[in-house]
Amino acid sequence: MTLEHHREILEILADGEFHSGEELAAAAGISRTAVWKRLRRTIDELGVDIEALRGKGYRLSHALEMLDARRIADHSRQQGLATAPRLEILSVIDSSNRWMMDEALRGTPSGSVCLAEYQTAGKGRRGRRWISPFGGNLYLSMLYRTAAGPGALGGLSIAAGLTVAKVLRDAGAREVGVKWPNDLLWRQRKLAGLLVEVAGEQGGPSRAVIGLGLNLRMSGGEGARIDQPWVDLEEILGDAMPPRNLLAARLIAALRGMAAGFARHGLAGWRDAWRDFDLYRDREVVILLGEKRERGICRGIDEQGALLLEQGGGLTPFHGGEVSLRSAE
Amino acid sequence: MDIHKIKKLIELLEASDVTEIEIHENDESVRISRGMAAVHQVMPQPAAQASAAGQAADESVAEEISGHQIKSPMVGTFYRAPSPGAKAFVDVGDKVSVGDTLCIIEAMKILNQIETDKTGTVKKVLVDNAQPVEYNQPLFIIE
Repeated sequence: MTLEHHREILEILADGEFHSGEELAAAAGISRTAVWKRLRRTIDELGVDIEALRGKGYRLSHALEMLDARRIADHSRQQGLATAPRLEILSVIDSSNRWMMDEALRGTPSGSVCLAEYQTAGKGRRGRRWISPFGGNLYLSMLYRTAAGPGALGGLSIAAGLTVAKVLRDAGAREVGVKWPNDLLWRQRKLAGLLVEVAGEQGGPSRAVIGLGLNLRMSGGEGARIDQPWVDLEEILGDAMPPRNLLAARLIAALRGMAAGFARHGLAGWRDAWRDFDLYRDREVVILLGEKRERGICRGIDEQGALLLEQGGGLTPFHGGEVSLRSAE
Repeated sequence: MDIHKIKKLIELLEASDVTEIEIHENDESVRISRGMAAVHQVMPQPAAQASAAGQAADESVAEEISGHQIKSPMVGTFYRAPSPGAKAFVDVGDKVSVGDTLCIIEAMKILNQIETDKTGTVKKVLVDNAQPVEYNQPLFIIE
């Protein structure tokens, strides 16, 4: 079943109110008796919570604001925000990053953005899954082209992570910070993650896709599949939660601004921001590098974005590995 | 398995067009792949034997480092497949065309797909999966 089948019903249910079986059957062009079966599949396949109440009909456990390119454009215009040269809303996709990488080969312009309602194979680092249920969160991928080779894109993931963290702090999530290189955490619980994929010739040009997964509202069932402590923006902001399309407009504008700055100055200028957002500064950590473990004290990042670890009086830069607090071991 | 026997097998492989050979003997087995810079001894593996075999493989790499080298554009970790457990992007003997992805190098959650800038055949893979690589370190030989 394609998502378009689910979408007809979901657009009616999106308001969070009760709707009768007759109304849903008419919208989807199916029989009254087939409605519940269809809804069961929607629940199973998309991970949305739908309640049924005898005599009242069906409703979503939460109202759902569907992603809408026109609404995003309206928000951008009203707030004077930079927009993407191309914006695509994808209902269902395996991975928004994979989609954008393919579009990059077809010549889509730098700064193009896609947003997905649902990812069937959302990607984390090295094949880890990013749990991506329908409708509640933001999955965003932006293309960034450069004349330089892939080697010049070293700090891009750092700058992108800080950019998103700033948007979220400005929205009221004051305690959001970053864990090197670009995990966004709130009280040691993961709120968002970024993954940058780069391809191109060694001497340039190259293309990078910046992928963001941001938890806005994770349903309990889907959240249980995440293998680490997590949080969603709704828990942090409550009623102050901005509309989903507005948040998307702000993220697009901020990432566009970041990309323009990165093209001119690279990571220069981001080290001060890192200091403001660095959750592990001056703390004792362990870096896992394959089977190797390195201990030390976090002392910020160098000009390439490598993590500086103080070990026995000297500073050692690290370009890879998994960082954890030593106290959390 | 006797180290001299393994060495003989490596020499045999070098002199032929065969890319991989696997021998089973009682409860031991050994697989040698050409150009993989590694000898996989599957069954009981005394440490001394393993390191000696490793040396032999290293020597064979040092011998022929001719051909077009693909070098790492950055410091990072070398991955031969798009995700753990997936099929490698390329193996020794594969034909590749300009723009084909050879491997991924990860640093700071940036996954760099390294493309070949030469059309030809993958002759050697010079780094093991999941190993750290330095800037400009040769990764592949394409002929």
